[in-house]
Amino acid sequence: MNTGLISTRYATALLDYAIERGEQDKVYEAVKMLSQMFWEVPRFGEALHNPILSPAEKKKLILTASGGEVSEAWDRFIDLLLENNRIEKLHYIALRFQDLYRDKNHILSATLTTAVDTDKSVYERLKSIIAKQTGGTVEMTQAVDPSIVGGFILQIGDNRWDASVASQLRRIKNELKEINN
Amino acid sequence: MSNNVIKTSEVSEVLRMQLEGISTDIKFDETGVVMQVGDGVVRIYGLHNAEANELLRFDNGVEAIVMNLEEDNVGAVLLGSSAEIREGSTVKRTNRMASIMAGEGLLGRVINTVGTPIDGKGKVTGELFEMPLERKAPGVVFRQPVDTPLQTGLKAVDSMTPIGLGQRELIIGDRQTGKTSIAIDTIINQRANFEAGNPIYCIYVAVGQKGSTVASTVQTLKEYGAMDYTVVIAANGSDPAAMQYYAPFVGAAIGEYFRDTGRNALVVYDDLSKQAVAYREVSLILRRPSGREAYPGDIFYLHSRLLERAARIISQQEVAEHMNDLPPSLKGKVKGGGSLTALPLIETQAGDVSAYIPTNVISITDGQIFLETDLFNQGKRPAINVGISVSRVGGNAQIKPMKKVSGTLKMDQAQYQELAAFTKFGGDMDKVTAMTIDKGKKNEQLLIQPLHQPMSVEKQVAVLYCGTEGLLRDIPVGKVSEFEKQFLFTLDVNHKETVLDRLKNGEFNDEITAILRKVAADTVKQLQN
Repeated sequence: MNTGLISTRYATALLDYAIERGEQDKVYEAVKMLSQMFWEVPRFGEALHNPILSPAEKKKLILTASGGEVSEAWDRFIDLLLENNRIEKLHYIALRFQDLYRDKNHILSATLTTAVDTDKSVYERLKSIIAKQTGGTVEMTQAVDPSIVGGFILQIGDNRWDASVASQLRRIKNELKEINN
Repeated sequence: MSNNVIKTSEVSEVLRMQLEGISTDIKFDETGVVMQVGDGVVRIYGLHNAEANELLRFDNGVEAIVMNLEEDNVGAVLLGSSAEIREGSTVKRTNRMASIMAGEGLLGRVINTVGTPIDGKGKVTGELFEMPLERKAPGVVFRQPVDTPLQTGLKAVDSMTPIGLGQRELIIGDRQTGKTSIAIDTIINQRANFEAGNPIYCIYVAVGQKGSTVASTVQTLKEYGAMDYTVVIAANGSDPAAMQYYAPFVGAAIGEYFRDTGRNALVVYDDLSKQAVAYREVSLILRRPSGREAYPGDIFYLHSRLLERAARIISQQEVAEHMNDLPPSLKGKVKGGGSLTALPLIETQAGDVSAYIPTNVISITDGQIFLETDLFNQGKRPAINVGISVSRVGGNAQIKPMKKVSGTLKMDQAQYQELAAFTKFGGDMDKVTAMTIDKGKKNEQLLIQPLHQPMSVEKQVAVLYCGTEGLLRDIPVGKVSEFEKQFLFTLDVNHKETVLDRLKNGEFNDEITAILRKVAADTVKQLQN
C-alpha cells in the first residue's frame, strides 16, 4: 500500500492553509521543533501510538513538544489528524512539511558536525560560502559529536560531505580488510 | 624460528603500499535517515533520487536493497544484521544496482547471497565481472530452440522426460521424495563433460535449508569430483529473508555470465517454495497487499522472470552480440551458442499440486518431474510418477537411439500401471495382458537406479532396448538388476567400440541391435543356469 501519499497530502494541506492565514512561519518553527523531538525522544513517537492515551492528552503532548500554542492553524491541524486517526503519520508529515516549506522559500537546511566546538567565524564563513553557491537562504545548525574524532561532517539537505577522521579510518579499515582477506 | 619472525620493515612497507592505494577523496553522498527498522526491513526518509533495486550502505557497512519507492519514504531490505541500525541512522546511496561479481574463480566455491565466500578458502580469485541480479531475459531474436540434450544420467528422466540445454524442468514432490537427489545426480553426471573439455557449469542454489544439509550436499559433490565445475550459493534458514529471496537471482546472474560468454550452464534452485515464503515475508513487512495464501500479487512474476532467464542463446555471433540488457562488464565478451538450463524444485504438502506456488511454477516451466512418496516407499527410486511427468520440449533434444528405444516406453508404462491396478485383486487374465504386465514390471525394475550412480546415455539406450523389446521375458523380476549389471559388463568389455561408442555418436542400426540382442540372450541364458 502506498501510504506515502497520505503524509504528502496532509503536509500540502497544512502549508496551504497556513499560508492562507499568514501563519506559515510560526507553523514551520513548531514543526521543526516537533520533528527534532521525534529524533531526540523516541518515547514521544511511541506515546502517540499508545491507544490508552486519549486524543486530548495526545494533543497536549504534541503542543508541548512543538512549543506551546503557537498558531491556530497548527492547533486545528492536530485536531484534524486526531479526528482522522492519522496521528501515527505525524513524523512523516512533519518531515514532508519542512521539505515543502523549504522548497517554497528556497531555504537550505545545513548541519555542521564537528568533534569539538568550532570558532564562530569558521561557522559563519561556511554559511556564507554555501549561501553564495546555492543562491538561497541557509538555515544552519551546529552539532558537536566527539565520536567523529576530528574533521567535520557537513550535511546540506539530503547530501552529506563526510570529512571526518572517523569515517576515513573506517574506510581504511574496510579496504585493508578487503585486501588482506 | 628465524624464518617465522615478522620483519617490521616488511610489514610496514606492505601496509604503506596498501594505504597508498586507498582512495581518500571525499564526495557528496546522498543520504537518508532511518525512520523505522524491524524484521529486516528499514524505512528511510530522504534518498529522493534512489532507484528501485539500488544498493544502499549504512555507516557500519551493512547493505540494503531498495524495494519500495513511496512518496515520503523508501523501503529497503537489509542484507545483514539489523543489530546496529537504529532510528535516526544515516544511510547513503551507492549508485549501484544490486549485483554479484561472477567469474571462473567462483567454481568450487561456496558463497552467500552477497558473494562472500563461506567455505573458509579466502577471497574469490581471478577476473570477476559485475552481473546485475535483476536483468531482463533475452528476447526472442536472441534465442534458438532447444535441441541439444542435457544428460541427467538417470534412466527414468533421460528416456521419458528428457531435458534439453536451455530448458526449464520443474522437479516437484513432497519432502523426502528425492528431489534434491535428482538435481545432485544431474550435477554429478556432468563430470564426463567436464573431463571431455566441454563443461556444463553447475550452480546449486540452496534456499532456506539447514547449514548441515548444505554442508553434506557440498561434501557429496566434492566426493564425486563435481565441485570442480560447480558453484554453491547458500542462503540458510537462519539468514535474513531478503538473503533467501535474492539467492536464486544470484544463481541466475552467475549462470548468465556463463551463458552469455558462450558456455553451457545448469542452475538448480533448491527450492523455490522456500524463496516464495521469504518473499512473502518481506512483502508483508513492506505492507504490500496480499493475495491468495497471503502471497503478494507479483509472486507469479517473481518466478516467471527468474525462470525466463534460462535460455539457449543464438549461435550467430553477430546477433548474439546485440543481446538486450547486457551489463557493461560483459560488453565485447559476448559469445553466441551458450545456454542456461534451470531445474527449479518445489516442495508440495501431501502431494497437493493444486496449491498456489506449485500451479504457478508448473505453468511457467517446460515440464515437470513429479515425485511421489508412495513410489519412493515401494523402492522405486527415483520415485517418478511417469503418468503425470512431462517434458514439453526435451523430446527434440534426445539423441536418435534414445528416441527410438524410449519412444514407446512411457506409453507402455502408463498402460501397465492401468492394467496392474485392474488386476490387483487377482483373477485370470489373458496372455496379452499377462505379457504387458510382466514387461511393465521388468521395465519398472530397469528404471530403478541407485543414488549418485548416473549412467552414460549409451548404456541407458542398451539397457532400455532390452526392456522395450521384451528381451527379459525369460528371467524372473528379481533377477532384472543382476541382468542389467552383467549385460552392461559384457558390453563394456567386448563391444565398447562396436556398440557403445557408436550409440553415443547417435548411430542406431540393425547391426547394433543384433549384437544387443545376442548379448542379452547370452546373459539371460547365464542367469537361467
